[in-house]
Amino acid sequence: MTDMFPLLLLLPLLGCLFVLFAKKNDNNSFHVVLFTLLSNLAIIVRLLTQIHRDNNDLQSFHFSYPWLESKGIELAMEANLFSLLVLLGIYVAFIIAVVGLLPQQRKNKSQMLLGLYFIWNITGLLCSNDMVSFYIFFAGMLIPLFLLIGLYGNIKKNSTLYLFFAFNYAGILCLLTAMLFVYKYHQGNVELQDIALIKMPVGSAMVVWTSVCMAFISRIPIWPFHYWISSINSGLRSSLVCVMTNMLPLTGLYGFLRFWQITIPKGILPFVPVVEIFGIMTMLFIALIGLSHKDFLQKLFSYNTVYYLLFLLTTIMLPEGYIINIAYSLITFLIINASLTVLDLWAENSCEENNCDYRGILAYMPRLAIIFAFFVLVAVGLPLSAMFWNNFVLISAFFRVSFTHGLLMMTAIAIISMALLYELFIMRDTSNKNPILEIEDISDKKVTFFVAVIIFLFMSFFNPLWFAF
Amino acid sequence: MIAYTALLLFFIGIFSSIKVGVKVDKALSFLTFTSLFLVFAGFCDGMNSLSNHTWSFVWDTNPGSSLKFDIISNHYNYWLIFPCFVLTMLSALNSLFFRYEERRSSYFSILIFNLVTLIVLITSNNFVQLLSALFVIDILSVFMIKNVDAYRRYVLLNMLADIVLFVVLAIINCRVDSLDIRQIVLYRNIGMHQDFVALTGLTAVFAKFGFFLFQIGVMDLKKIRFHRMLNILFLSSPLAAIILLLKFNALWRTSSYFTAYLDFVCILTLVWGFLGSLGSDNFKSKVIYWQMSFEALFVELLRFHGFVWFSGFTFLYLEMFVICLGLYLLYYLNRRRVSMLQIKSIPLINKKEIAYTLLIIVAAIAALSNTLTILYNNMNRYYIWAFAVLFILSLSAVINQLLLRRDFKIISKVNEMPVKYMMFGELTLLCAFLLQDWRYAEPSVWIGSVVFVLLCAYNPMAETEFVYGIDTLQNNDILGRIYHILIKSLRLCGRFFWLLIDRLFMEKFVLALFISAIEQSLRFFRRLHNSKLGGGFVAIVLLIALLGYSYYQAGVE
Amino acid sequence: MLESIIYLSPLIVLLSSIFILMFSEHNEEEHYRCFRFSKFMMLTAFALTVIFYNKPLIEEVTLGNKYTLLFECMMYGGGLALLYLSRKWFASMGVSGYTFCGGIFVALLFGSLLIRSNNLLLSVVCCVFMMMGNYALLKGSSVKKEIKSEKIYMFAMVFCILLLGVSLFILYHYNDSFAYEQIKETLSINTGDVWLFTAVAAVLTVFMFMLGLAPVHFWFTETLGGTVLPVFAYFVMVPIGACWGGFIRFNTEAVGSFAENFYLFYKAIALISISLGALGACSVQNVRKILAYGTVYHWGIVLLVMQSFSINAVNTGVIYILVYLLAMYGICVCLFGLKIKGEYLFMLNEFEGAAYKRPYISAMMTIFIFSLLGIPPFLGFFGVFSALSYLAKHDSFYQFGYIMLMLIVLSYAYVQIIKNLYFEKSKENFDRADSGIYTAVFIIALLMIIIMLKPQYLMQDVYRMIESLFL
Repeated sequence: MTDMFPLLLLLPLLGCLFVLFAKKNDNNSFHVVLFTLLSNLAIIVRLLTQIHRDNNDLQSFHFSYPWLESKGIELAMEANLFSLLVLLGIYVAFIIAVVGLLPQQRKNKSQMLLGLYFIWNITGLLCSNDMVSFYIFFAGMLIPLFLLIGLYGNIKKNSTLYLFFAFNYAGILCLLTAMLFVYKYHQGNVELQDIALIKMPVGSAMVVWTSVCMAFISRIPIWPFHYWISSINSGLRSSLVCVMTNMLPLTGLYGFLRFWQITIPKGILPFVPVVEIFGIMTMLFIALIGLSHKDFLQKLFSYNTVYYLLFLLTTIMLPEGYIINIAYSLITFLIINASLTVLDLWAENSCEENNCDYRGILAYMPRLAIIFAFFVLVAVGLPLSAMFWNNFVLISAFFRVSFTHGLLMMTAIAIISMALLYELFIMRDTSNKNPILEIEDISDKKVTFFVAVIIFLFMSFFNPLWFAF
Repeated sequence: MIAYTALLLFFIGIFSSIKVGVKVDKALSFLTFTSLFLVFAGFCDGMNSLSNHTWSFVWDTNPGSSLKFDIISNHYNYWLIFPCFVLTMLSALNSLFFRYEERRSSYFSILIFNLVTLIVLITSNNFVQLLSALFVIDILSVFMIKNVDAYRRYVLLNMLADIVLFVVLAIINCRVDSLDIRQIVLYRNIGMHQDFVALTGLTAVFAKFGFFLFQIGVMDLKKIRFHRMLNILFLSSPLAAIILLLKFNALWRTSSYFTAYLDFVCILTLVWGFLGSLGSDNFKSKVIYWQMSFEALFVELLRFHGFVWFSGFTFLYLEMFVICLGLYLLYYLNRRRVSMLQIKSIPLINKKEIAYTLLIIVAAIAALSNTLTILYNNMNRYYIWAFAVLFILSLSAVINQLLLRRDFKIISKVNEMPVKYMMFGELTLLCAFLLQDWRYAEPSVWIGSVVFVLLCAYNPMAETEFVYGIDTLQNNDILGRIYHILIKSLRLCGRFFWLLIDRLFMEKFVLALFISAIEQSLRFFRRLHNSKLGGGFVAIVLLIALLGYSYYQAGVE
Repeated sequence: MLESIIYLSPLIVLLSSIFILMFSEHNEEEHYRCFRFSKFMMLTAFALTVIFYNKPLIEEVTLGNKYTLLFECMMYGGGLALLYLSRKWFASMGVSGYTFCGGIFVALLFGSLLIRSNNLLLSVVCCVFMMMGNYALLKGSSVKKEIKSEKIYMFAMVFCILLLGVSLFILYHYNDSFAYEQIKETLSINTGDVWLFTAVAAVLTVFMFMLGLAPVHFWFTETLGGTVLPVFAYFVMVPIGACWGGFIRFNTEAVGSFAENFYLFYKAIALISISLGALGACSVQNVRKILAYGTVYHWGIVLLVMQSFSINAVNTGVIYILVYLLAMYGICVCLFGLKIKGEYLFMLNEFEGAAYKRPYISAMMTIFIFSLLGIPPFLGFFGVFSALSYLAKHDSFYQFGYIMLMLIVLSYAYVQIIKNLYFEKSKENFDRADSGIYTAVFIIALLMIIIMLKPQYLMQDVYRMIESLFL
C-alpha cells in the first residue's frame, strides 16, 4: 500500500500533462482535473485507512528521491496522519470548487492547468519532510496563484497585483534564507523535525527562525500582512481561484505546524508574545471589518482569517497533543470554506443572470437556501461537524494557557459568526420585494453532490474518521 | 428507559417528516400522533420505575479525552421530561384537530425532534452533549418560526447566548479538566474568574429566556402564528434555559453576586412584563409579556427550592400553558385580530364559546394559584404575591377591555368554532386538575379566582386602554434601537479600522512610501541615464574612485 | 606540423567561413544559403573544437582543457541557436544575413581564442577584434536611430583600446613578456605597485565593459534596447561565454594573489551592477532593455560570488551563468516567436494579450522569466541556490540580504512582462510562429526538465570541468 503514496504526487503532474494537450474550449480539461482529484482522494482515504487500522504499527508513509547527492540533498517525502487529514480536506475542498465552476469556466484550460499545478504543489508541500522539498513546493505555489489572480481577479490597480507578488516572493526568499542558513550549518539537506536540533550560533539561529516566521506569516493574513490577501480577494469570481486563494494561508499555517512540531525554537522565543498579540488583535480587527462589509465573500474572507489565526495561535501556544484536533477542525473548515464560496458564487451568478437583487435571493432558491444555511450554521460552530467538538477542545486548552487571550479570541469568533448569520438572513430577506419570481434553483446533480458533502460533514460530528474503515 | 423513548421518538420523527400529499398527510399525522401517544403511555409507565439506567456510546475519541453520549434514566429526569412530553402532545393534538398547518406531519416531526432534543438536553451529562442539544433546539426553532423577520433577532440572540455558554463551558473544562457536568462543583474550589464565568453564563441563560434587556428576540415572535409562538415560548429556548439553570446551579452559586443579579433581572422582567401586557396593543405581544413575567416567577421559585425540580413545577408550567391556550381561544374567537384597537366588536354568535373560554381561564387561574400556594413554601410570599397581583390585574384588565368595552355584534360566525376544541380544553384541564394536589389549597386560592372574575367585570386598569392609540409608544422599539446602535457602532468600528489601518496606514502611508521610494530612485536613475555624457562621466569617475579606494584599502590591510 | 594544423582546424574553419561570407555575392533573395552554409561550418567547427578540446590551437599562447571546452560550448551553443532562430527574421525582413553570420563567426573565432589564451597580447587582440565585430553588427542593425547605439559603442571601444594599449605597455615594461604565468609572477612580487595595479585595472575594466557590468553598462543596455532582435540575441547569447571565460582565466592565471587589491573593487562593482540592473529594469518600458538590465543584475551576482576566484567561487559563478544563459536562450526563442504583422516586439504594451493568441510561447516565456527570478521548480532555482548558499557559507550576510532585496525590486520589471502577456486584453493579431520556434522551445524545456530531474549534470559535472582550470 505504501507504493500508492508516490502516486499522490505523480497523478496531478500527469493530469497537468493531459490538460496541457486537451482540446481548447471543451470540458476535457475539467474532466481530467476532476478525475485526478477523485483518484487522489481515493488514495488518501486508502492511506488513511491503512494508518487508522494499523494505528500502532504504521505511523507514516515514506519515499525519497536522491536528487543532488554531491550536495547532500535527498528529497524525502512523508505522509503521516496529520498531513493526510489536511490533504483530505484540501482535496474535498478542491472537488467542491471544481464542481462549483460555471459551465463557461469549466472550458477554461489555463485555469484548470494552473489549478492542478497548484494542487500538485500543495500536495507536495504537505508530504515534504525535508527542508529543500518543502521550500520547492512552498515557492512553487506562487506562480499558478499569481497568474490565476491576475487572469480572473478583476484587479484594477497594477500595484495591487505586484504587491501580492512581492509579498509572496519576499516570503519565499525568507524561507530560502532560512534554508540556506540551515544548509550552511548542517552541510546538507535536513529533515524538518531535525532543524531545531541543529547547532548554530545565536545570531544565525535568530536569522533562521525569524526568516521562517516571516516566510509563513507572509502567507497568513496577520496584520500588517493581511493587506495583500484582502486586496486581491474582492474581485475573484471563480470558485477554483477563490478556494486556492483561501488555501494559501493554510500553507503558512502548515509551515508553523511542521517547524514547531516539537517546541518553539529558543531563537525567537522573545517574539512569540508579539505574534500572539498581533494575531489576536488581527482577529478582532478582521472580525469587525467582516461585520462591516456587505459582500458575503468579504465576510467569508474575514471568517477565514479569524479561523486561520485561531489555528495559528493554537499551533504556537498549545502543546503538541492538540495537533490532531487542529487537523479534524481544519478538514471541516476547508470544506465549509469551499462550499460557501461555491454556493455564494452560484447565488451571485443567478442574480446576474436574472438581473435581480442579491438581497433575498435565497428565498427564491429553496434548495440552495437549505444547503447554504447548513454550511453557515456549521461555520458558525454548530454541532453539525467535527469542528464543533474539536474547537471546543482547542478553545478550552487556550483558556488554560491564557484567559484573556481566549476571551478575546472568542469575541472575534462570536463577532464573525454573527456577521455570517446576519448575511444569511439578508440573503433570505424578501422585504425588498424582488420583482422576479422564478429563478432557476440549483440542479439535482448539484443537490446530490452537496448532500453527499453534508453527509460527510455530519458523520464527522460523530467520528471524524468514519470513512476510514 | 428514556433512551428507548428517545429512540422511538426519533424514528417517529423521521417517519413523520416524509413528504406526502395533502390527503395522506392527514392519515400520516394521525398515525404519528397515535404513535406519539403510545410512546407517551410507555414513558408514563416507565416513570413509576425507580431504578436508574444509563445508555451510552462512545461518541468520539480524541487524544485529549474521549467523549460519550449518555442518556440517563432516573426519576428526576422523568419528571423533567414529563412536561415537555405533555406540551408536545397538546401542541400536536391542537394541530391534529384543526387546520393550523398545511403540512401537519412535517410540523409534527419538528415537534418530535424538538422533544427528542429536549430529552437529550435533560439527560446529558457532559458539556458537549448539552451544547449540541442547545444548538439543535435553536435550529429547530428556526423551522418552527419559519419567518425570516421573526427569527432573525431571536436566532441571533440565542446563537450569541449559545456561544457565550460555549465559552463558559470551555473555561470550566480547562480548569476542571473534565467534560462531566457533575464535576462543576469542583470549579468552586479550583476555578478562576468565578464571578465572571457565573454571571456571564447566567446572562446567556437570561438571553435564552428572553428576560428584560433580551426580550427583543421573543417579542418578534408576535409576527408568527399563535400556536407556533406558544410552542416557542413553552418548548424551545425558554425551556432549555430552565434546564440550564437547573443543570448549572452549582456554577451560578460560585458567584456571590448570583442572588442579587438573579433577583434584579427577575424583578425587572416581572415589572416590564406587567407594563408591557397592559400597554401593548398587540394581543400576541401581551401573551409574550405574560409568559415573560411567568418565567421570571418560575426562575425565582426554582431558586427558592434550590434548583430542584419536582411535580409542582410541572403543574405550574402546564397551567400557564393552559391559560395561554385560553387566550389563544379568545384571539381565535375575535377572528384572529391582533390589534386591540382594531377589535371594535365581538361576534355575538360566539358568546357562549367566549363564556366557556373564560371559564377555562378562571379554572386554570385557580389551579395556578393552588400550585403557587404549594410552591411558595413560606419562603418569599411577597414575590409570589406581587406576581399574582400584577398578573391577575393585567390579565383581567385585558379581558375586561375585550368583553365589556366592545359591542357584541352579529358578525358571521367563526367557521371552525369547534365544539371539539372545547372538548380538548376540558380534557386538558381535566388532566391538569386530576393530577393536582388540592390538599393544601387555601381560601386565598378561591378568593383569588373570585377576585379575578370580579376584576374582569370591573377593572380600573382597563382604563389604560388609551395607550393603545399612542403610536410612538406602540411602535417604539427602544431596545431594538439600542441593539441596532450597538451593532451599528461595531460595524462603524470595523469600517473605521478598515479605513484607518487598511486605507490610511497601509495603502496611503506604508505602500505609498514604498512606491514613492522606488519612484524616486527610478527618477534618479533615469536622470542619470538620460544624460549620456553626464552619465558616462559619472561612471568613469565612479570607476576610478572605486579602483582608488580598493587599492588604498588593500594597502591599508 | 600537420598535427598543429589539425589542432588549428576549428580556427581554420571559422576563418575560412568569414572569408567566404565576406567575398561571396550578397544575394538577399537567397539568404537561406548563407545560413545553411554558416550552420554547416559552425557545426563543423564545434565538432572539431570538441574533438581537439585539450589540444593547443597555437603553441605557447593557448591552452585547451575541460574548462575552455565548457565556455566554448556556451558560445557555440548560443551561435548555433542564433543561426537557427534568426534565419526567419532575415527572410521576413528581406535583409542580407551575410554580415550577421560573419559577425557571429568573428565572435566565435576570437572568442575561442580568448577563452584558450594564456597570453595577454593574444587576449587583448581577441578583445579588440571582438569589440570591432560587435561594432560592425551594431552599425548595420540599429533600428531606433535616435539612440545612435553604434556611436556610443564606438566611443567606448576606442577608449577601451586605449586602456588596453596602456595596460600592455606597462606590463611589457615590467615583464618583457605577455604570458599569464609571467605576469602572475611579477604581480605577486610587486603587490603594492600602483602602475601594475593600473595596468591590471585597465584590462579588468575592458572585460567589464564587454560584459556590460555597471558602471560601464551604458552601451549594453542602450544598444540592446535599440537593435534588431537577432543582434539583441547575439549579444545575450554569443560573446557572454568568451568574455566570462577570458575574464575568469585572466583573473586566475594572470592576476593571482594580486587580486586582493581588487576585492573591494569587485564587490563595489557587483553591488552597483545589482542595484542599477534591478532599478534600471524597473525604469524602462522596452522589454529588451528590461532583459539587458536584468543581465546587468545577474552579472553583478556572478561577480559578487566570484570575487575571490577560488575553485568553489568560480564553480558557483559558472553554474549561475549557465542557468542564466539557458533561460535567456528560451526568452530569445520566445521573442522570435512573437511578432505582429512581421514586426518583432519592443515595448511592453506590444506584448499585451500575447497569451491569448500564442499561449504556448507565452507560457514558456513566463516560465523562463520565473526561472530568472529563481523560483523553483524551474532551473533558475539552482543558480540562486548556488550563489546565495555560497554567500551564506562565506558569511557575506549583508550582500546576501542586498541581493534578495534587489531581486524583489527586479521582480517588478519581470512581472510587468508577464502582466502584459497575460493580464491585458489582446488588441493585435499575433503572427503565426513557425514550427522551428516550437521545436527550439521544446528542446530548451526538455533540457531544463532533464537538469531539474538530474541536477548533478549541472552541479557536479560543471565542477569537474572547472577543476581543470586550477590543476
